[in-house]
Amino acid sequence: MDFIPQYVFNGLVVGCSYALIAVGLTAIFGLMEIANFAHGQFYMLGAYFSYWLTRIVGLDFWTGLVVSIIGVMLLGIILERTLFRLLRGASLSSSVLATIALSIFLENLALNVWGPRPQKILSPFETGGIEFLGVFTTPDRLLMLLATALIVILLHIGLRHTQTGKAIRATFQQREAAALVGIDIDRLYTLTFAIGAGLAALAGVLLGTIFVVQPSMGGIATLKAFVVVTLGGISSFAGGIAGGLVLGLAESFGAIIAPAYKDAVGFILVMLVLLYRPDGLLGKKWS
Amino acid sequence: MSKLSFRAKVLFATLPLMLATSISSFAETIKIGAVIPMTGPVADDGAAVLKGAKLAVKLFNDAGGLNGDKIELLVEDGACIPAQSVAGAEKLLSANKVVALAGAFCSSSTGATMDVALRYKVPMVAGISTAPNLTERGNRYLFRIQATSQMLADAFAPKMMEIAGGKKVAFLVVNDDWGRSIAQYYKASLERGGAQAVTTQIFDTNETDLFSYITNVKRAEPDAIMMAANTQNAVTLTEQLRQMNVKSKLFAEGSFTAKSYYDAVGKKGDGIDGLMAYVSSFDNPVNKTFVDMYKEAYGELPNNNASAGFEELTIVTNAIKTAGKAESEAIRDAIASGTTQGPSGEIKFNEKGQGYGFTVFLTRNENSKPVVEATALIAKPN
Repeated sequence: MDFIPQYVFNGLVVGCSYALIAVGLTAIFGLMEIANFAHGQFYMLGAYFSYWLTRIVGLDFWTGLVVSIIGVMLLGIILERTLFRLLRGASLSSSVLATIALSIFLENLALNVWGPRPQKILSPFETGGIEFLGVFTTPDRLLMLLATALIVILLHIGLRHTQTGKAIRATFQQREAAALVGIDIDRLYTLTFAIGAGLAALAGVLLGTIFVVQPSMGGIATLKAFVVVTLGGISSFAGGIAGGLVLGLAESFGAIIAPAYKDAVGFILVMLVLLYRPDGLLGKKWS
Repeated sequence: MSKLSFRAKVLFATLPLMLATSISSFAETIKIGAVIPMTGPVADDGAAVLKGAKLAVKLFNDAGGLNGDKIELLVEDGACIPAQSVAGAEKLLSANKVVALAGAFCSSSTGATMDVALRYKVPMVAGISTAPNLTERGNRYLFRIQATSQMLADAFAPKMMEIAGGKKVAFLVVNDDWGRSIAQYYKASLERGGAQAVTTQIFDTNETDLFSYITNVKRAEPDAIMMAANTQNAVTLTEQLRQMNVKSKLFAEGSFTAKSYYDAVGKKGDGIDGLMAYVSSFDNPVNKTFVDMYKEAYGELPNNNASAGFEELTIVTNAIKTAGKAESEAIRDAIASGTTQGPSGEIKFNEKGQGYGFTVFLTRNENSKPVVEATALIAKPN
């Protein structure tokens, strides 16, 4: 029993990273109705930009963090203005194929530029574990928790209390009606896409200090993000965050019961949710 | 003068030129295929295999090839995914018509690819895959140059027990044929020596957070932990074992002595014992040539993956020289009956295609370098 807090903590940290990636994915899907299979590549690029800026260019961690996020957001804006604008209104299968192609392209681009060797982003903290109440952790992992909490609060305030946030929510509910009352849909799409890409990049940088940075890290992130979005409910911000934490905890406790089937636990959860709550834990009816 | 005779003149004028070019193209290329992971989580280890393999080809070609025929090495990315490795081998065998194959790194991929080699009756040399069952399938075209996990375990189990200083052993291995067979065979060898296996944790190669597995291991309070991981997982494991303050003695197969591993973990890798098929400091003339060539070409010391790539192709090129022709069946027979001097000593094959006769190493990481603690000679297996 002494180990339960350790499993909870392990699950929360991983869950936070899932949540950060999934929030962007769900926003893009909810708003633009595009299933972006290249979303995990923003996470991968965030990590690589930060690696490059801190280890090669020589910036400090925090400057590297900010510049990486801005870099990935800019890339997101360019992609939204070009590829994703062409995909708007296209069938789901077209957007799926196009974004899968984009993900393969970006992964191989990273492989070409940075090579296959796993890299690490240097942590801004003294390395080494810390222990409290029998839980072993590291400052990097605490930062992950803190950053996610901060993002949740900022998103909540942004969506509830700003003009843009209200416009985003209105577009979520009824795109045509929102356009009719004068909301600039194009601008909102770009903004949402940039924020989604930026959040994935943030997760990439933070996890790059904890784990390793590799070109193939994006694919698995995309997969997990889709699991989270399905769990939490498509096009629900709160669902994305709740889904991330639930999946993280489920995997952590799944590792106690059947370590070799840890990943299966997540998918069993998805099946159960789809059977009994087809719109996800916090999702609204999807038409 | 008619038009036709003008054409005839041109033809006669160019005939010597055409003849000359066709004579020079009598020196043909011998195509050899390699299925190596160039993408995915073990891409870095695959890149080292390729670096080694290229040097063996260079040695052969620089020495004049086979009566002037040079080897061309064709590489397909298997990504350590069995289906992709099979597709790569199919392409090499059917479209490129290679006369021999090397690969396919991960045991699961080799297991799938060796069936394709059998179908095309083309010899395949496996350099990395250590899952014991591969050479038990009666495939006369497969040759494995690596000691199996079972052989390594039998060779070093008593020494491991002595170093561990206790009887409780935990396993922390990657989820594929290699990792699972390590858990199986090391467990058997160590238990024969009186050890007790307390837990086996199997993680997926794509996983980045191993805290849950490490927590499970920690709860079992083992004296020693046996690990199996390639570079990416090895780095993650080392970092996270240190972060969780695990005090057990650590043993490993895999990439715990690779340069990329040392670059990533620094001194955190010190104190880990490796069960290795190769160390670059081994005193042997072939190894000396290999290490010198490798340092000159790539500016670093070769690791076990690079050595395996070099040895795979050396065995093929030697067999081509012995056979005197680049035909698959002749190459197969030459490999089966021949002896090759490799970087870890001589290597011969038993009737199942399992290599033996070479040296294996138990090393300890000190100041980001492997230091040899013990060696063993792999005897002819039954």
